Amino acid sequence: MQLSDENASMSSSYDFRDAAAEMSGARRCGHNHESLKGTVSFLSLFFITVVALSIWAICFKPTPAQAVPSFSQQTGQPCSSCHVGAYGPQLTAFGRAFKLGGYADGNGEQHFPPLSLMLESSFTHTNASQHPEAAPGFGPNDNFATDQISLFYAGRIAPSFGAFIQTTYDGIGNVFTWDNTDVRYAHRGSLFGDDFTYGVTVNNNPTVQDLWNSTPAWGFPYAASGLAPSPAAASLLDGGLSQQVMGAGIYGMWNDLVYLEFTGYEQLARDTQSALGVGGVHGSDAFGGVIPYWRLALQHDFGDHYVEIGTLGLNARRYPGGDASAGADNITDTAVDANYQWTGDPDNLVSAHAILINENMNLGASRALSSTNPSDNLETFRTDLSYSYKNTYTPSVQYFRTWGSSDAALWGTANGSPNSQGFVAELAYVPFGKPDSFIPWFNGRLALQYVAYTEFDGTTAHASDNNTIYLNLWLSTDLFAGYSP
Amino acid sequence: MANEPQDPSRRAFAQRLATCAVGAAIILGLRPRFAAADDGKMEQKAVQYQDKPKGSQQCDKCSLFQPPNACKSVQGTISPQGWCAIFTPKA
Repeated sequence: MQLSDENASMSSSYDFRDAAAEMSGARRCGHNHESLKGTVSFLSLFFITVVALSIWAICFKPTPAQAVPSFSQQTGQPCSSCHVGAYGPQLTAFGRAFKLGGYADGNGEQHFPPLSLMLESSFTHTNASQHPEAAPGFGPNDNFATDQISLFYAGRIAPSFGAFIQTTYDGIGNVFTWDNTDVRYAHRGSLFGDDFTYGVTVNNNPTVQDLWNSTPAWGFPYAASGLAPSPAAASLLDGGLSQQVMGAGIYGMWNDLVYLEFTGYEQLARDTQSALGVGGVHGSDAFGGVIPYWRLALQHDFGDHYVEIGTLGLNARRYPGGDASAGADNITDTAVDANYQWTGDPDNLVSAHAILINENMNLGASRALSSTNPSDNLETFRTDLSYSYKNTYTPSVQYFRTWGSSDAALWGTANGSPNSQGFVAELAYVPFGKPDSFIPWFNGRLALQYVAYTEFDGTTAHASDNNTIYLNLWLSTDLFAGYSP
Repeated sequence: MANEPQDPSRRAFAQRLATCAVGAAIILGLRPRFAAADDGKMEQKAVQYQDKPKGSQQCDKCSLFQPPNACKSVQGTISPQGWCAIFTPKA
């Protein structure tokens, strides 16, 4: 295998841009227009059909609405009951309980299929223009984009059985793709005399099933530009497997105190990934056998102070570029995380999240194929703090840092270092989604975000060229709001 | 003619049409099934109801509370000194 192929492979596997998008639940595929052809056959027509049905329903079934999106309609609660800042994905205590219960709790009323539609559009400015362009079809700088249009099946399927299924049109990659998926069955019982909720999850992205916003799939920033430069290095746990795998696992929460989960993932066949719209499949890394994932968390309310500490991780055998001729690399990710929420006043919520991910790589195969180091390590640390006033104005700040052993053949950076660090500052405005909102079937989020780098891909020189201003508008609605058959 | 190969584009269109039909059927079939309507309220366990306050928050300070011992959103008997995860303070 040629070095350039290896680097391309690593780049596709460790694309922080994808990981960042994944954090927002808005995975954007690589800019591989070939995949468009492969996905038109299924997802696009499925998407268009459902959207057409939904528009028809909206036009001809103008019944009074109760709430949006579909989770909100199902529970009869406004967005702010489940989400800090009245817009996903940062969860409140009720949001975590709802997810733990399999997306199945409701207010007992019949609803039409719980379908929601989401539109995300943005403006991106970077300190330095990108050459020749930020992405195919876009200019070097100051780009407007329809980041994504997503359709969700989100809600109860049957008693104790529910799903969160997202399909997305990626307006930057110009592809249709499946997106975050988590199908769950849960049961509430008791163990040793205390409450015990247990269940199974089938999902396509390690941590998409997690209850806390410290972990990668639903961590801050909740939306990130797909048209800004992003660091080359990111761990496998940090979005490196999203949508490439399917996993099944069991979980349990005892006494609202101890959460334990084990899930096993397997990578989907490349043809299947292509059919589902996953980008950059050709020449990408392959993962053999079952990828075990574990999660342990402790949580407790100390009066108005909610605290969670936990650990999670996975282990994977990786075939660089899909080439098994030299055996496999062994990748082990181990993370610790923490969450804090002050809930003393629902009009003044304070949240903090932190995660430290350690990735140990035994690179026997990569060394044989592309002369990497025999082993490497990568550390990732992120912590963010947010304050939400009346669930309407939510300023947030984050510090992030990635560092590890230098290996030019692995990371593809100029000096071989994977190091990057910086800050994110954001102000989000959400006018609806509260108990007194006069438009209960619609919600939106306008956010102004600034990303500042002090180090980028191993160098501080010109790191600020990558600083980004990102203005992001998120709109969502329940397609059948208020319709009760 | 029986041996004439089918037009690939026509076959693809038919496959897509069938896919759409199956997809629509699945969506309609996946309509959530709830038990008989229970007053549009959620179960106490689903909202983590407890019969004691949480800090300064308790049900009789919640906009959803219906004196003397009920709630607009939660089933069953509700203590004025209780609390649950959808606590919404009175304006």
